[in-house]
Amino acid sequence: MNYFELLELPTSYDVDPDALERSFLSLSRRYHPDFHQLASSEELAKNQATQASLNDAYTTLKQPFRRAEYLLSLLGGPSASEQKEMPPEFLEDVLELRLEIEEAKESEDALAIAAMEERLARDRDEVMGRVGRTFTRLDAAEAANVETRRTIRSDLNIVRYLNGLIRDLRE
Amino acid sequence: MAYSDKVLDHYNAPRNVGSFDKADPHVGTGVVGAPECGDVMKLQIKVNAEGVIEDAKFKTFGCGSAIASSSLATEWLKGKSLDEAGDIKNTEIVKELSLPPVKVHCSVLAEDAIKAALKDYKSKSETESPLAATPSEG
Repeated sequence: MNYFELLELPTSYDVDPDALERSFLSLSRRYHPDFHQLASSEELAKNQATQASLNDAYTTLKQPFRRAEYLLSLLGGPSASEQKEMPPEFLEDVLELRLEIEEAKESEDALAIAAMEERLARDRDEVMGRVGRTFTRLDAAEAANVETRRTIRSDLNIVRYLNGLIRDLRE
Repeated sequence: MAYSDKVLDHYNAPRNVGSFDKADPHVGTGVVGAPECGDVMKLQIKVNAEGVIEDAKFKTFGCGSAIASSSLATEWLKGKSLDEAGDIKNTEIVKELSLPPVKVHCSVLAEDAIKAALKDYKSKSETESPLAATPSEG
């Protein structure tokens, strides 16, 4: 059973945040030991394992990037290590940004750091928006389309680099 | 995790940090990245008329092992022919720097960077046909 099924949601990138909350809470209640006081220890252990899976499922599906990574792996990938090639221009940009970050941090330029973080977060949101739209297209018709999945992989790799840069800024 | 002395040495005093002009026909540039960890490595070679790598430079953003791997790679590249450079294996870097298994991917990145730089140089020299090359001065 995949995380979507476990939380009784359709296997799709477009997750209704309210439905996710409701489902997680009601299922968590169902397996909570307080409601199983007469259960055998075997049953309790099983419930505990289910609860652990529910927690994993919830944290994975709640966060768009992790949800996208998870859904792509369900659809058969590719994973980041299977498709790591990125356009050299993009990697050069990442290098440039790293240099800028280093300089801003060395000069303790709080304004520049805040501005960069805002810009990177905006870029990341934009790419995630594109990932969402591509997934919607996949849902509709292209589930088996390798090219579309490669496009998503490439966008998620961009997000990985952007997250790395944002982490750098905050360190 | 404890880094080996050799990694620390390269990390604290990286060799050949910098860059060459990418547009220079004698320069080959390789830029590679590891999306899993966000590391990016740029490695450049400068090749002389005899086809020997006379200089190499790098810029790497990543962990100590990634910096050490690319620093070591630039040292090894100097004085090598293009074929010899293509034979450099990540396993040799692992051995020289005593990289632990979790850091092997850093050496792979360095090997990828070498390959990309060689490829870039070769594609440049192929497009530059000797007949089309006109003397630039007088």
